[in-house]
Amino acid sequence: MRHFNERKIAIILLLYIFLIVFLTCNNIQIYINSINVLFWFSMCFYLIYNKNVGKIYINRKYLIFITIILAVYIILYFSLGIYFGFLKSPYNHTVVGFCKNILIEIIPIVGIEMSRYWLLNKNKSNKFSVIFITIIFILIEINFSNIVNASRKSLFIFLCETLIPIIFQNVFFSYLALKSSYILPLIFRISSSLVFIIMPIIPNLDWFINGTFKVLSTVIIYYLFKNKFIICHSKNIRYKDRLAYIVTIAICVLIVCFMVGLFIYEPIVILSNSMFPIFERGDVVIYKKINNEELKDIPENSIIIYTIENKNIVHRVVGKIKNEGTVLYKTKGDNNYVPDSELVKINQIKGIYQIHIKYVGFPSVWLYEHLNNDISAVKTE
Amino acid sequence: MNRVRNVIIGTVIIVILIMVVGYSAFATQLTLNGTAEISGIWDVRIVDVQAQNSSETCDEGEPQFTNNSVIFNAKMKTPGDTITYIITIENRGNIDAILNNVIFKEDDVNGSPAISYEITELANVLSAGEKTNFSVKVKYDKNTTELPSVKTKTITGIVEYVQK
Repeated sequence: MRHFNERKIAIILLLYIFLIVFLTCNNIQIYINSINVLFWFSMCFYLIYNKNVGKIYINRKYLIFITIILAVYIILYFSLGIYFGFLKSPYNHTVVGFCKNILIEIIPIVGIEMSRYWLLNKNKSNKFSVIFITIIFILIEINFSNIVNASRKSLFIFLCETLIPIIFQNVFFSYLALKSSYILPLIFRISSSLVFIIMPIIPNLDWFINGTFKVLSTVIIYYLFKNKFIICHSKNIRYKDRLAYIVTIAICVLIVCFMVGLFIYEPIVILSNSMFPIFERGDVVIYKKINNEELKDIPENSIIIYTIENKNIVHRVVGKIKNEGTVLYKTKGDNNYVPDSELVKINQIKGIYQIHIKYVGFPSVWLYEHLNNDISAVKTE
Repeated sequence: MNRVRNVIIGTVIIVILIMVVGYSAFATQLTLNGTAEISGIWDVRIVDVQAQNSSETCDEGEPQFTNNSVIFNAKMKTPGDTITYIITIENRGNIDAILNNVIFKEDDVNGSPAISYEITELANVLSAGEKTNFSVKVKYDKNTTELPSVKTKTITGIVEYVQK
């Protein structure tokens, strides 16, 4: 068999990426899975028999550590479903379907991690080569069908939910491959893929939770790994390091929880001036969620946040109509001449205005206007 | 060491801020589901909704749809009025899909008895790249002789495709 050096292997990987992009752009995606499996199977075969990549020493303490981390990661991920709900898994759970999924998912992972390990360890002294190889593996992981003909909004969601986590994870897997072997990323990736193939339900997470969870969990795992196995010379540096990571992660987790409404207070960005001069476009309003009893007894002049046809509206209560045990609220924007045409039912109300922060929401307003003109986001009408 | 740490922390903060800004802008209309987790290309979605064969006195409204939900508001005036909505589903991924479940139910038991609906059969298998149609026909009972006290009926339908 002909022997390839690392440069030729890198070129083959780049050509493979171009092939996948070409197939995707020409809508010939039906063959991608088969090509993917065949390509990575050949790569595994080549690396094991010609480069002896298969013979790897596994450090037991690494193995135990990554198993614990993995278990916590999976439990945490699935626990999110308790709050956000679960979806039925679209994976086929028959024996044939299961075997097919294993083939499609696992073989490429083995091929990718073996190639990454071999290429990185051949070039570990050269920083630019390490970066270049990591970029190749980031490109390999991207599902280009999500980019072709996608709207700006879909591209943004793809960036946050898929591309950024892929970058973080691949940088981490490259780090693991350099510091240990390909076994650790392999165990991590195969186990998490298997869980999704096997489980009949998966958490119903939106792009924001998915993206932030993957990014933050990758950074936490990186820190735990580094803290446990990489020797640091000074206790002071270690302490500062720990403090910086813990504070950053804690702040990020709190921000994410606040944004998705895990707390009693939730923020909302204002897109119009209907409540001027109280607050205006670009401000962020913080509202308090209220219970069923409070919903029936909202005092007049309160500013409420309610939803109509998937739009959030922030207007003032100007009247209350009680009808056969139900309560309807008449609302109006302070800057509008007439009250709103529709009465607000209590099940449409999300909460009561508490405070607002000036101008903080302008980046969201900008994004709302530039990414997608037809989306119906937060309005005060 | 410090430099690497600061780069990581700085990048995490910037990334989280970008996501927060995006989430604030899109927050109210997210209907994404967990299919994004599949690394094969699973992408079964609604691609079109059209109203057809409506009676003259009907108002079909403007059906709205996202990738995985359709909302239409049919307004009928005369007994015997019908509106048919044709919903097109496409499998844009590369995994064949099979129909797992179809549930159509009336949301409120007190909905108008004069309004009824019919659903046509859906394709059992939706292969990668294929499209399929099904229709929802809404009818105002032609034998109704007086204006019903309840004039609306809300129907929720779930069509669930899973990997073949």
